[in-house]
Amino acid sequence: MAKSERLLRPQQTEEDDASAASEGGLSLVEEAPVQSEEVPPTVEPVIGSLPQEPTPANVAVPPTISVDGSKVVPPELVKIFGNKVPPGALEVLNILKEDTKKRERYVAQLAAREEEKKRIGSKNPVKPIKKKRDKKTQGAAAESSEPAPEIPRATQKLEDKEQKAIDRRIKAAHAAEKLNRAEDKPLPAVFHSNRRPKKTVPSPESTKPEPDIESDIESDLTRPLEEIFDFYPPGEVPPGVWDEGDSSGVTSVAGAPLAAEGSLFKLSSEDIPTYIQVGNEDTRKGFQDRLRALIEGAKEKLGTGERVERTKSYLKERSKSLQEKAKEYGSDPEKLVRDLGKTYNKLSLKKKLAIGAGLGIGAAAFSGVSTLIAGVFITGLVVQRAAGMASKFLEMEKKLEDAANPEAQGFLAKIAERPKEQRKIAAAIMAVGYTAVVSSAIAGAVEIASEFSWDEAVHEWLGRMSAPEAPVSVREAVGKIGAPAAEVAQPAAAAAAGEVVASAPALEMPTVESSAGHGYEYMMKQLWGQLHEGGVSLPANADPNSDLYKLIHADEKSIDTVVHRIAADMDEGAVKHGFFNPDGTSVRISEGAHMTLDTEGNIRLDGVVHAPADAPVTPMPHVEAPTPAVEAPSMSIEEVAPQDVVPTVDLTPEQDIAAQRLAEAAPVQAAAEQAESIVNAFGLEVLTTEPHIYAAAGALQLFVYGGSPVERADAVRTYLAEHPDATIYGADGDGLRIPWNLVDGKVVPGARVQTQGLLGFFKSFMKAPSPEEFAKIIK
Amino acid sequence: MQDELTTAIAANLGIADFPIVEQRKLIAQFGGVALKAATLSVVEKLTEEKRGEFAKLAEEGDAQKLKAFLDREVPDHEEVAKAAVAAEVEQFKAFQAP
Repeated sequence: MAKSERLLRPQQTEEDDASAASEGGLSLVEEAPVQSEEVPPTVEPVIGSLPQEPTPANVAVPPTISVDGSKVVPPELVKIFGNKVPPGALEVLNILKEDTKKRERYVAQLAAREEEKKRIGSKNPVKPIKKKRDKKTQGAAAESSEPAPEIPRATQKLEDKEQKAIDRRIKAAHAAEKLNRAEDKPLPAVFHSNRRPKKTVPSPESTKPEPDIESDIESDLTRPLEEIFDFYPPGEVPPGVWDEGDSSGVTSVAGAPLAAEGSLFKLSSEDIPTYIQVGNEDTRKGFQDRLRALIEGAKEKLGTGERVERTKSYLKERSKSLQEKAKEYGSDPEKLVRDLGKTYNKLSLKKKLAIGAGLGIGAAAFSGVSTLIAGVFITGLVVQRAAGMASKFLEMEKKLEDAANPEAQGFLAKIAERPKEQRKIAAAIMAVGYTAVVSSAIAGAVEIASEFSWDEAVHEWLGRMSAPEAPVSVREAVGKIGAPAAEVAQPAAAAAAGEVVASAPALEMPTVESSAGHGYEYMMKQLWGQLHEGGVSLPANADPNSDLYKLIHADEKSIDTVVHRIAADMDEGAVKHGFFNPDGTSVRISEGAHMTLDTEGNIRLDGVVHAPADAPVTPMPHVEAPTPAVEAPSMSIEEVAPQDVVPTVDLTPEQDIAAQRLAEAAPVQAAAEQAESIVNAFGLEVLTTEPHIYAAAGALQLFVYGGSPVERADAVRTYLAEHPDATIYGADGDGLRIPWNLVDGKVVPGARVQTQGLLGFFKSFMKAPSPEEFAKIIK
Repeated sequence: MQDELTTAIAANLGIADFPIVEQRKLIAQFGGVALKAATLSVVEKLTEEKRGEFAKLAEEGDAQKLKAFLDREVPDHEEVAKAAVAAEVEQFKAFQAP
């Protein structure tokens, strides 16, 4: 028998037992392996057995037995075993000698077992494997002229086993202790279910279950087999005690080992089939667990395969069903749906995955924004559009994969700092927003990004987007101010996934980030836009003096006046903001500042309703007139190149020549400027023939414009001398925008102003200031 | 990227215990179903006359025109589409349930 087959025997045997039990309780006798009749039952090998037939007169102390040195065999054991008393039985009885009851029960168990062995032996005297080995032994004995070699060998083993005898006593003590425990408490069910002694036919005297010491030990499947079998040392395990298992290691009648010394069921790595070898857990329990896992794994695998096929069939049928449904709506919609499917099917798996995410599948990961993106898909509704998104998605993926990409700036750079998984999700979102370039998609990007605490970064990104469709920042998806939480529309897909609803972000106020060229009134107007786009309704108890109340009640005609009055604190009873000071200066809005509304309906800039008294100010005159509705385009100042475009000029009288050079290099007016004056959308008359310093809407930027280059240079020099911290933007010789600053008393030009572009792409230099940007004349 | 997407979507669909290759195939297959379902949910809201117009606009591929059309004819088209996809997800998950 192969080793692996031998290894499987215990498992198979147990299964057979279970089967037998379920089929009417076939006895072990009927299941016992067929044994050869060539060997009489009396030659059944017993450890340390003597060749003589036992009689009361010649009962000799078995050579391997030593009980406290007395070498006395209790008569009850002699009655059962004759002169073949197992040493373990002697040990146990010796320990139990003071407890007559337990002793009698143990003897009864031994007697029952021995009876059973005899019964089995009468039907199947010797197992095949034993027959073979017995033959071998007998053959060896026949070849030898020496009489009865078994006894000398057994005697020799006596000395070698002194130490083992001590160990046996200890184990026997443990067994007795178990017996004591068993009297007080029944064994756990798992023990009973695994107990091999169920194969043992109970003795007629004890029909009810009795605790069995040896089987109790055996049932402890977590123990290494050799530890269990040490109860009977290797080579001394009586046949039948551990059932019909492999008898390797069992000594012959003559005491000669039939196989290499070792435990009966000891498993080596070679015994375990390679496909289930795990570690070095040569325990029966470990083996059984591994085998069970193997079988269950195979079953599970088989079941999964079936589920996959069933699911595929389901989707196929569902697709057909939808196609049939489309027919109900006419030929055109039916064709549309069919084309949709065809185009979709042609896409790569990657793009399909991306589209699946965009459709809102996987809402657990994408939360509410996914449903919003789904809306974008429907808005586009053409798969070509979806495919475009998917392509961009993959492009973004590649982009974001490279955290060290030198082009990764601003938002991308911040994303690159995030964990890989978040970077990838961000790529999906930004790809959708990038491709769709509609406010809703961007709002979605903001929303999901906010869940990852990327608010600032996203706002920065959005604020620098050059696409006209892109708002500075949007939170319309969640900006239902004034609406009770229960009434706020939750994304359907998110609602469908319960856990998503639970994790959906709380309601947030619309938020606007400051951007170059834009001031308070512009930001407030953006808030107004978000409130109206989001369909926000006022709460019933809204304060009429609150900023929120005024913004919601403003329309396109009145909004400019409203935001101006709010910014200038012109309304009685309203909360004051202190954005503008009585001396005409205004509090400087820091780059990246956020304007939002609080729960009281008041505008807050960077978290405060009223500007701090010590806030830095911009020395700009406050214009009382309402700001015209036309907004200046957003501008981004991103990077400054080496300052070698224009030479530094000292603002001293003797620097006239240098001033001339400055003037020559400095702003030139566009050739198109033929008219002497232009009235721009702000209603401001801009003179092309006279140099002036202008301010953009919101007074965040200053421009020099008009007149000759020399005159403009003078205007810059004069203004900077009075306002050394200011920056004035003008035009360089190529008609592009450059900044001028005063550094150490010198007018220093900066590098051309560059737009950040979109997601790091499409960067360009800003054109020279245009009259359309000027909201006010400063000087 | 695909691994994360696959994981997220598979978890949502209840097929996370499937082999990864099968997960991807099923997600791709499901995407097509969801796309159809979402489209039909919007079409369903249109009058018969408008359905043809909608189909033509969609075929043209002008997203801006299409958006304007839907904003006008089905103001809540985004919610409608979302609900359709969500319903498909739920139906799919129900099928998966033992």
